[in-house]
Parts: sequence; C-alpha cells; structure tokens
Amino acid sequence: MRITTNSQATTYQRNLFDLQERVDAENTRVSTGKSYQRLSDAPKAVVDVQRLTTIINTNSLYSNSLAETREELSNTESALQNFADNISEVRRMALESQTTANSDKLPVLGKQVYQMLQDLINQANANYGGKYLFAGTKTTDASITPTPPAVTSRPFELVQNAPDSANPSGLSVVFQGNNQDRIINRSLTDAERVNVHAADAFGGSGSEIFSKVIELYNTLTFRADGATRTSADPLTSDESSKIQDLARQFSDGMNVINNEIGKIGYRQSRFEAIVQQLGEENTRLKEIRSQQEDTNMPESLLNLKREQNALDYTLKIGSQLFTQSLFDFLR
Amino acid sequence: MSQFAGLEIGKRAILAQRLGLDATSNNIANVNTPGYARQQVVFTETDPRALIGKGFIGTGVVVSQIRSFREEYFDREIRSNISRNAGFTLDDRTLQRIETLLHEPNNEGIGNSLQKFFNAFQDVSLMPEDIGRRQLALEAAQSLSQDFRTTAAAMQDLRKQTSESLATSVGEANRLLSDIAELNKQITTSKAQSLDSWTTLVNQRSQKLEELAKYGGSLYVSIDNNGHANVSMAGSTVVVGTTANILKLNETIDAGGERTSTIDIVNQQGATLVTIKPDSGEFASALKHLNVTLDDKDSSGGFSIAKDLNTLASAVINKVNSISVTGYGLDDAIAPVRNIFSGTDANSIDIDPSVAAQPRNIPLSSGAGLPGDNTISRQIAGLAGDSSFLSSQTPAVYYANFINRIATAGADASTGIKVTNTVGDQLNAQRESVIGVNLDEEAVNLIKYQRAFEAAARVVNATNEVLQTLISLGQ
Repeated sequence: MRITTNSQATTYQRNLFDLQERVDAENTRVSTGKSYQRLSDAPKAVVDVQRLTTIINTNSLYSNSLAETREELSNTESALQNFADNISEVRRMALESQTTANSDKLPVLGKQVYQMLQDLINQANANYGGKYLFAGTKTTDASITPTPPAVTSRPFELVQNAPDSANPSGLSVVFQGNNQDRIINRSLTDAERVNVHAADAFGGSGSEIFSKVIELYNTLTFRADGATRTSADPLTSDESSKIQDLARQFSDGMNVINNEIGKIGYRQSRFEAIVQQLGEENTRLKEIRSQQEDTNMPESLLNLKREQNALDYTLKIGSQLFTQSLFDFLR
Repeated sequence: MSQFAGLEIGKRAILAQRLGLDATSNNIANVNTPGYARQQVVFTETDPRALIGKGFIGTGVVVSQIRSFREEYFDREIRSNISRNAGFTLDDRTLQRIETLLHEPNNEGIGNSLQKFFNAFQDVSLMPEDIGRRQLALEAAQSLSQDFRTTAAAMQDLRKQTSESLATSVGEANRLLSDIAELNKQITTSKAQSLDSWTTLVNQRSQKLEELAKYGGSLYVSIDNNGHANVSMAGSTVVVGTTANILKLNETIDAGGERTSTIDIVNQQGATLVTIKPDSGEFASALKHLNVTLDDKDSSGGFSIAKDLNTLASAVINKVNSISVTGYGLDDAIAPVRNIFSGTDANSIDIDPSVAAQPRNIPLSSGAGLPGDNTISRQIAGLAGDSSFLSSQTPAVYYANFINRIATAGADASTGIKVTNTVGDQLNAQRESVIGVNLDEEAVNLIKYQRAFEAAARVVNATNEVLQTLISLGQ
C-alpha cells in the first residue's frame, strides 16, 4: 500500500487520541472509584446495580422499621410487666386481707388497692412516641371523645357513677379505645400485627380486670349493707370467699398478661432474627454491587501505568515520525 | 533539417517539465487539504518527423493530461460511513444529555425519589399519628412530583434545542446543495478552459458532498455527460445539474398532541413537493429523537423516553390516588375522598391542594377517628412491591428496565461511533493511499523535473551555441 504523508498523520493522530481516551478513562476510574461513568459504559452493570440498590434500600428500610417496632414492643412488654407486677401486688393484698392479723386493717388495705387501681390505669394508658399502646387504633387524645361520666380523652379512665348495692363506691373504669389491629409491613409482601389488644390483656372488652380490682376495693371498703367499713368490721364468710375468688381471678389475669408478654417476646426475637438476616443479606448484596460498580484499583492502576507508557512512547515516535523527509537532505 | 528544430524541442521540454514542477508544487501545497486528490502530469511524445529514407526522429514532449487520482468507489463508501458516524454521534450526544437529565447513573433521579416516596409511606405507617412523619411523607411526595416535572420540562427543552439544531443543519445542507449546484456549473465551463481548474473544482465538489453526507444519510451521486453531479438524498432528488432544491424543516401537531417533524423538499414558494425520509446521518437521528425519543405523545411504538416517563408518572398518580381516596385524614369524620397527587402525567403531577402543606389531611387510615390505623399508608408503601404496578412490573423494575433501554441505546451509539471511526480510518487510509500526497515522493518528483528542466535549458543553450557558430561562419 502506498503510504502518504497524511495517512501517516491520520493513523498517528487516531492512535494518539485512542490512547489519550484510554488514559483519561482509567484516570477517571481511579479518581472517582467507579468503574463506569455513563449508562452506556456498562448497561448490564448499571441495571444490576440499580436492582441491587433497590433491594439494599428496601432491606434497610424494613430493617429500620423492625428495629423501631422492636422498641415499641419492648415498651409494651415493660408496661405489661409492670401491670402484671401490680396485679400480683393487688392479689397479695387480697390474700393479706384474709388473715386474721389484718382483719382490723381492711379499710387501709382498701385505700392501698385504690391507689394500686390508679397505678394500673396509668400503666394501661402507657404510650410510646405519643401513641397509646393499648388503645387499638385510637392512639391519640384527639381521637377519643369522652362520653360522660368520662371527662378525659385517655383510653382508660376511672369514673364515678352513682353508687348502688352492687357497686357501693360507684367507681368503674371505662375503656375508650378500641380493639383493632395495628399492623406493620415487615417486608414488601408480609405484614404483622404489633399491638396488644386491651381485650386480650385486660379481659372482657378491655377493662374487666379493673372491675375485679374495684370489686376488691368495694369489698374491703364497704360492708355488705353498703356502709363504710371500719377497722371493727371484719370480713364475713361470703366476703372472704368472694375475695378468694377474686385472688384466683387476679392470678388468671396475670397468666393472661404473661401469655401476652410471651407473645411479644417471641415477636421481638423473630424481628431481631429478620433484622439480622436482612443485615447479612445487605452485606452480601453490597459486596456484589461493589464488584459491579466500584473500580478494581490494582487493575485500574496497572492499566493506567500501561496506557501512560504507551502514550509516552507514542509521543516519542511522533516526534521522530514528522521530523525528517527527503526535503531535509536537499540542498 | 532546420537548425531551429532543436530549439523547439528544448522549448517543449522546458514547458513540459515546468508543468511537472507546478503539479508537484501544487501537491506539496495541498498536502494537508481535506479531500485533495494529488495531481500528476502525463507526458506524451510529440509526433515524430520522418527523415526520407532514414526513418523517424522525435520532436519532443508535451503534457497531454493532468491526471487526478479520484476514486468514486472510495468517495461513495466514505460518504456512507460519514453519514452513519454522524447519526451515531448525535444519538450519543442526545442520550448523554438525557442521562444527565435523569441524574443517572448516580442514582439520584426519579428512581431514587420514587423509592424515597414509598419508604416515607412505610416510615409513616409505623406512626401514622405523628405529624413529623406525615410531613416527611408529604415532602417525599413533593420531591417526587417535582423531579417528574423538572425532568419532563428538561426533556421538552432538549426537544426544542434538538429542533433548533436540526433547523440549523437543514440551513447548512441547503447551503451545501447550492454550492454543489454552483460547482456543477463552474465544472462545465472550466473543463473546456483548463484541466487544472476542472480537477480542483471536482475535488471541491467531492468535499461538499462529504459534508452533505453528514446530514442527509444515503446520498446517491451520478455524474452525467456534462460532468454534473446529480444528487439524491434518501431517494429524493436534491440537485439536478445546476439547480438545487430547497429543504425545509416542518412540524405538525395532530389532535392528540403528537408532534411530527419532517424534512421536506419545497418549491420557491415554500410549498412541499416531497417529504424525504433519511435513513442515516444527523437528519435521521434528529428526526428520530424529535418524533419518538423526546415526544411524550408518540404513538409509533418506538422507544420514547418522554412517553415512558409520562407513563410512569401517570401510574404513580393513579395507583396512589386509587388507594388514598378510600382513606381518612387525622381530622376527618366522614370519608373525604382525597387524592395525594393532582395532574395526569409527568408534566402536570403535583401535590393535591387538599393535602399540600396540610399533613394532617393525608389520608392514611381506613376509618374516621382512627389515627393509629395505617391501612392506607401501608397499602401505598406496599405499591413498591406490587408486581402489577406497571406493565406487570414493580415500579423499581420498570424504572430499571427504562434505564436499561437508555443505557443499551447509548451503548449502541457508542459502539456505532467506534465502528464507523474504524471503518472511516480504513477507508480514508485506502483512499489516501491512492489520492494522497507523499512528500518524499514529491521531493523526488521535484528533483526529477528540476533536473529535466535544467537539461532542457542546456539543450537550448547548446543549440544556441551551434547557431552562433553557424552565424559566425558567414561573417
């Protein structure tokens, strides 16, 4: 083939540009740490990275959701544990009232039961992050409109009704929440209930156990005829057996609450396992993503050196290629 | 035999070698001129004179032809390659700009906003009564709608710029067509006058045709008996003899809002004679991007990035709103039938005025007075995993495939550029080996013609001395 001055220059120029492009590409890979800069550089890798990033972000999202839910469950567990402890205390008081040594202290025990009742109500009104834990989906004050005789917008409230023979104190606890599920998505496809229904924990429609505590309070504070009990008024045999029955019911109530605590513990363990599993999966996915999108530094640095050497030599050759022609030797 | 014959032979030789020197000088001068075909003088011995009974004797030399090394085969192949290369280059440039508009591959574009939107609704589902989280969900929705609108507007801006650039290219093509017609005219007259100027004009016309190929795609060039190059672009005649047709960029909008740009051949009054359909080159690429890639109302079935973006935005609006209309805000006593998004596509998507700046109004629960109910927010968050969200795909998979198609189109363009560059280099090298100038070769020619010129001058000198001797004999 006939070689012309221009074809030499064109070939040289093209090779020079190609080399400069390759040096620039390796330089960019090393300086940005990314193996590709444009979508068209590696279409398959780009899409793989997009999909991996989506999965990683989704895993992180649900991992965070579950971690946060575990905190809520932990608070629920503490509130129920405190509640169970107090019921246990109420049961102890009920049993204490049965001993002859305490027969003159029944009014005092009654007052202690009343205080315990107030503590139980406070614990049933426990909240986490501004939402009531045992009110179903009526989690805020704003969502509760008190119906008289209730006056507050709290889920559990001790109200005063007109006294009668069945309830000489006229006290009752009203539950103004509901027993609906609060559910979270624990993955893109699965959901799970995270709240404890008041009905499940406290019996009846959500306030039965409080009625039992009030019943104990009434028995300790009032005589069978409705008059206020004094230290000189011991328990009758009917009252005594009623209190024994209540103590048994408190025991049953504690079992129910402990059962709910157990469910929460199981749920927490499962969530923890999922969080750990998601974390491990993300570590693996990030490694795969890194292989796709991050620069292989040793390889890129080696390539860069190789291309720079080639560029140096090409430039040297260029300086010789165009310095001499026959005209240099003509006089 | 006349003594002046020697002088005549010397004169012819001097003139012929002088032309050789001129051709060599011209070759050296044009060593870097694009499209230049080297010239070579062709010497022919003049008719010999008969010497009676003795045979024939030569009478010297003349230049019978100045040969130009043009090869139409290479010119045609190179024009075709230039056209393909120009198309791929414009594709690459346009797709690169679209990548920038979409903030890819940095993963900071709509795909990311979409995921943040669904994540925000998952986050608020953990505490739907929390105003702070509701505000974050609202901001995520605002950010998503703004990203859609900004990208769609930038896409339309890019379309406008592509259209303006194409109009400029059409103007440039018209100038080239006019130049080619004018060169055709000059070639006819110059052929009779000077071989030298004829080859120069043919070279210039060839160069113009190569420039035209960049725009118009497949060019068919036929040379008629007058030496005129008649040019067809994608099957439509654009230059006939000394007359150039006029190209014009037109755009029509149909009732559905679909815009169609065409390049038409028009008469002097501007009326369309025929619409050309370029198959490669900048015209073909620009028309593809105007009519398909960047037209959000495209109905061709081709890969329309603007339309796909609209489709995604519409799906987000419809899917999210179809869930939200069944929900309740924090203060709603009766079903409010409230949308989260307003608008219909990527251009118009926005936050619905009923929830804008009012996070309490975001319908997240399935009943009145149930602030802890997160049914709606969970359903919206769950759309991220809905495999029937759009085209039987989840939003993330749809977006990944959308990006994949852009990436693949970009890779095709990049590969096309590389291939046509390589082919172009090979073709140019092959053509260059025929028509190009080699300075060493020209230096040898220079010496050759110079020596021959000097020798011819000596012949004249010697003949002159012989004549002087003869004249002095008679004194």
